[in-house]
Amino acid sequence: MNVGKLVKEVERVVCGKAKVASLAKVGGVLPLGREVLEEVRRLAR
Amino acid sequence: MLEPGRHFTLGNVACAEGALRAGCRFFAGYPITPASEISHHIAAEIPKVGGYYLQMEDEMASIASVIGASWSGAKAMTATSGPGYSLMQENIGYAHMTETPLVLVNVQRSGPSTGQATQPSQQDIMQARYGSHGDYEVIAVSPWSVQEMFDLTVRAFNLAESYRTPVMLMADGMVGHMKEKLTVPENVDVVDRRKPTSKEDTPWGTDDPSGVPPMPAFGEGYALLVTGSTHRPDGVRNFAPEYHQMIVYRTRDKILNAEPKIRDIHKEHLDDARVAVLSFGASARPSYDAVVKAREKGVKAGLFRKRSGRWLTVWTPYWSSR
Repeated sequence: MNVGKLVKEVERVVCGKAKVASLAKVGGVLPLGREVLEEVRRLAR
Repeated sequence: MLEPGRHFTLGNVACAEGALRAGCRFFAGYPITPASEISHHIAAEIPKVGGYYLQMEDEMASIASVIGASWSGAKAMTATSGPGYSLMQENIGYAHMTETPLVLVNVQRSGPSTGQATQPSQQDIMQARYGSHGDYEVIAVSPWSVQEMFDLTVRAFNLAESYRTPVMLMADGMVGHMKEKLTVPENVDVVDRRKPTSKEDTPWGTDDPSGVPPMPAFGEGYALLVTGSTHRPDGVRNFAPEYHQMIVYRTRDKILNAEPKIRDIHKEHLDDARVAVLSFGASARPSYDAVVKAREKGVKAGLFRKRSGRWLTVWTPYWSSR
């Protein structure tokens, strides 16, 4: 529930060893489970 | 206070209950959505356990009075949301410099500025780490449920007293306004403040390996000078570089060295995960749901959620061990 404030920190720590994607959402609403699931499946491909 | 047992209640009420059971005996605050229910509940309940509630004129006065209460020997807390948290930043720095234990609850809402006053967010996580000026380390806890609003409030008090430092409870409006089951235990483990044992003990210097000096209170016979300026171990203001280095490094190192004890990570299915979902607070709930569903569909997914720790080292300990 922010614009992805931590994604740069994750990228720094991962050092290119893994793909990093941000699923950011603002507006006072949670990301939906299916939105997270779609992202997980996309990254797993 | 709620009786031990099961209840159906609000996250903010659970936070207030956790505070009272952790020994909080002073609360000062200024109303702000979505944190106000914490004030409401504590205002009603804290007098029953011999504590004090103060409705202050603003957030700056709120945290200032919490700092004063802590130096008077009370476990103390305030609660706010983003705009109020911004106002508190100068005194958060003062609390770090004076090594004042307190708990600051931020039930985050959408910003910048007034933003969506009634809507939840997690937009203050950088402010929690970097909001005040100078070099300091932050301990924070991050609840994802009503139960954790209770449990992690207790833990926040224990961490504050153990390490003599402000501790942030970084909730969000979703968890604060959520109603679900809360189990109030018969007893909770409570850490009490370590007091000096002799007049030779100094309030801002110690040979203890923890780096945490004992903390006297006003009225206990110690000549206390509590200043945000650089000071000697006895509290007297002195701007010499060696004193500044001494206090900045010791207050940093006491948190860094304690990281393994402070850190509490919730991991689900990470051992064989090809995709790790890193999330916290309310957002971790749909994330966990997605991980379970992904596994049902044959995708090896896992969840990483930090419940407590040195703030913003959210990822390093896990990934550096891989």
